[in-house]
Amino acid sequence: MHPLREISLVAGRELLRALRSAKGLALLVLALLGAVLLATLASAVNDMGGNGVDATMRESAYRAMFGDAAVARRLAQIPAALITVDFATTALLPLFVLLVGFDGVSAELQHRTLRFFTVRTRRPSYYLGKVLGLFAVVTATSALVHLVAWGVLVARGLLSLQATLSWGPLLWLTLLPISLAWSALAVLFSSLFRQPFLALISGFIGYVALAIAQAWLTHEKLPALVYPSSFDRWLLHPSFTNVVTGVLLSVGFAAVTSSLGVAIFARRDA
Amino acid sequence: MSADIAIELTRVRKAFGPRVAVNDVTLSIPKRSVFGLIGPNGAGKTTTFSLIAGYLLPSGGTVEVLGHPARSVAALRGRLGVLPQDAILPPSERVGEFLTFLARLQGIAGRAAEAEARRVLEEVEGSAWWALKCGALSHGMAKRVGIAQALLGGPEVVLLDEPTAGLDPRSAWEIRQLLKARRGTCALVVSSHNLHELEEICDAAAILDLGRLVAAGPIHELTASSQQISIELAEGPTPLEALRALPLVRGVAFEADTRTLLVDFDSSSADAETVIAEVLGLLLAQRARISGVSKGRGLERRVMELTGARP
Repeated sequence: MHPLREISLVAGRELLRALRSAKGLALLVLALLGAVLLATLASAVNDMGGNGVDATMRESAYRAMFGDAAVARRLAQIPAALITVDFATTALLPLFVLLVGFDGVSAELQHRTLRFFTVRTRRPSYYLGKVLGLFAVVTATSALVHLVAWGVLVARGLLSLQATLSWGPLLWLTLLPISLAWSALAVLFSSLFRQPFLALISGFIGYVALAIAQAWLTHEKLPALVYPSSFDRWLLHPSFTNVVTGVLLSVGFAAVTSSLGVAIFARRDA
Repeated sequence: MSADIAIELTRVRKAFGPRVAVNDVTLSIPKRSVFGLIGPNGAGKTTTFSLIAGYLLPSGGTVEVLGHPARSVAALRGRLGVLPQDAILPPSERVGEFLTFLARLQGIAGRAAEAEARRVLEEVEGSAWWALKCGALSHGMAKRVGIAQALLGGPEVVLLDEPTAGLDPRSAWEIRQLLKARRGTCALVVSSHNLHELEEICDAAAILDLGRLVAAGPIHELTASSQQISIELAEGPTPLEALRALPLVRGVAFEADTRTLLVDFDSSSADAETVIAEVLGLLLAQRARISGVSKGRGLERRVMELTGARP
């Protein structure tokens, strides 16, 4: 069997499991709750005058945030409510991915369920299937969250349907490469521990460490490429080359993380 | 590796930090045999089993299954089935879809995967569990589903770690019948504490102790059933000298605490049945009171001897 077939089978199982299990149900509730919270947050920004704020002021704020005039100019054209939904999702994404994926491998190591699979599938295929399965779950959930949040905002008259359809899907698409990078990192942490709780805690600590490292590298004006959510600086850029750079950075981060994970996982006891 | 060999371990060693679990084990398991892995707790049975299944990497030596390294999934897919002792079935998945998924993962395509899943579930008499969630299965049912997944695709080598552990006597008996029915179709490797069970179903076995192989071979050789008989006597006469005088008998020992006579004979001169007839005739004539007769020392006694009498 071709490794890609193995990967797709493992990823498909992961997606089905997430959708059918109690955890999947909890995930759905969490996603809907998150969507309503995002919509509420976006409404609050709007009530504070977000959409009414002078585009120049918003552009300045975005320039300060991203350090890039072209990104800032582009974002200033997008309704503030949509930007709020996107920023909040990007900020919460690592935590969400960790919560969804921390037990993906660790629980199967803990209960030795993995032993049913290792005689049937190559370990790298199993590992990469877990990464892609988690990515698929996160992608489906983030799509649901965005759709619900946009729906609430449009229904309340805070966004026009046209603006939502013009910018919304584009902003959501920028999340996908970042989701892949975080998914790869979450599976790495999950594969290092037999106890899911340890995977969760160490993942959380790891994320905080990466955020600190990112801040330090930025402060020192060094290439700050350790925190995937920060890749939106390239992904939100109007230039196609920058978007491709953002995608490559995210995929590269996922590839490096997964290679490390596969190398460790291939050697470890099942 | 010979074409008749299913599994070959060569000078295999496995250490967990300073603790050596398996030390310098060399072992061959023939194709289409039923082979037992025997030993007390801590003997290294499960570690050896895990090395063969590819769950663990050896610290030294080589482990080959059907001529391939144990972790060569591509070469062994569908040819090696394993029942891990302590692996838990995914509780939220339904039995049927889990077995179908495993069948697909080992290369059985489309509807054939579901048909194969149904077939193996039927083989373990679990057809009615198809739609049940794995988490809802009793221990015995889960064990059968575990065996069913090991039989998916009719593998050439099946490894079963403690297949009857924790089962009620009836379920254990049924599983033994299932394994006996598989005899000759594949190499069955059974790791178990239940020596009577292994003696009943195995053609050959390896006895491990403290991580080392202390004996291996056909069961009749391990138990010396072709050259020894044991007779349990109730209170009464024990005519040892008369027995020693029998031409077929090479030696007689009497264990007073268990009142067991161990009679050695030359297997090239007579078979066990002939010796039993002659010895019992003499004992009855001498008015000895016989409680039981068996060929050989019994696997349990042999394991006790070889492993320093630790159970």
